[in-house]
Amino acid sequence: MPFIKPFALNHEPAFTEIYNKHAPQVLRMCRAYTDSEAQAQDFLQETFIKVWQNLNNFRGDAKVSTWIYRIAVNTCLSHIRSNKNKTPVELQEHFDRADDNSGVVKEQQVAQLYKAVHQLPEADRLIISMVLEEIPYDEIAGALNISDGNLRVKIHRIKQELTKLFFSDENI
Amino acid sequence: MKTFDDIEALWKSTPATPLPDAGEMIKKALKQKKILANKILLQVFCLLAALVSMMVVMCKIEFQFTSSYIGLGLMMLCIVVFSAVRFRQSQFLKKANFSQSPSVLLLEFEKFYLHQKWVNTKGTLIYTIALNIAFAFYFYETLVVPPISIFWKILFLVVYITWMLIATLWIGKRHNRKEHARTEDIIGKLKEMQKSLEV
Repeated sequence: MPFIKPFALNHEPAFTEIYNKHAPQVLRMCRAYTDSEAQAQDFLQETFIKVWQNLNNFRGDAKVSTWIYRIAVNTCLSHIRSNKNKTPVELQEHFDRADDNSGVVKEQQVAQLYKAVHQLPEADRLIISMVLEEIPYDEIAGALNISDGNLRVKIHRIKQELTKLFFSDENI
Repeated sequence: MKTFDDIEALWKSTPATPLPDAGEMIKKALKQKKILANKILLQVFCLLAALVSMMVVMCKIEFQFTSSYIGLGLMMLCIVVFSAVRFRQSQFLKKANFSQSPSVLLLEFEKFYLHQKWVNTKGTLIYTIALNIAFAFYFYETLVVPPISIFWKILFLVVYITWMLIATLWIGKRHNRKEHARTEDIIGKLKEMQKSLEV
């Protein structure tokens, strides 16, 4: 999204535009971070409430998308772990549905992919979800405040790890 | 072929999850702001009510000893300082800037954690001592001087000490443990992120 400051003059339309453009990506990021669909929705809501509350503070020294991803990353990381060991109900439901209908192999594969992503360390889940969302590397590096070089090495390792986890678990 | 490209292709095929409407999100943000504002208003109201009721006691009852006034004054001071510290903590949590990089946010939370620990240990100790001194001053006139039987004096002391012990050693500690655990968890995850980014 281009430079859209000042938000203060046009707060609501600016937010709606940002939300419609970035919410689907942020939701998938959150979904990769947590194994619960409901919790992912909570994270999405928390992220965009913070976006709304801080829209006036956005200085425009980074892209809006970078700014949002940073808020999303921090929101996920700062969430308490009380539900960490919760049974991933939605994933199981995913499998059950897939088993009922042999034509829904893809759905099963997606569930398997999420399962593999959830086996990664928490920070890696967020990074790989941004990669899978095709967020440019400079924006990911900006959101995490690391150098482009470091990020590339890191991403290379996570890709290898995820590929290993996904295809070793894959029984479909 | 089993490569990352297959994973990417699969990810792209993920069906879109229906999103809440943007207007709905704005409504929730505004509601949350209102709830927070009401909460602060309620806290300020409770603080004022406590202070006003103490002022009323001070003005309505003609105490014979200065110690009673000192006690009430100290109690008011304890309430004001304690409320100010808690308010400052809640403001930090409310205003924590989540649009900073995780490393900067980590530094902020670490600073907050040090402050939180100080408040919950040394700060609480000072508060408890000051509050007990305040009660001691206050009760000198209302309990020690009047001709009450020793039984009632002892009973009062036992109840008071038990209440203080439960409040500081059980309720207070449990509350502190919860608060510390939450902050530690956030710091732990931000640190994990930092560590993970060190290539």
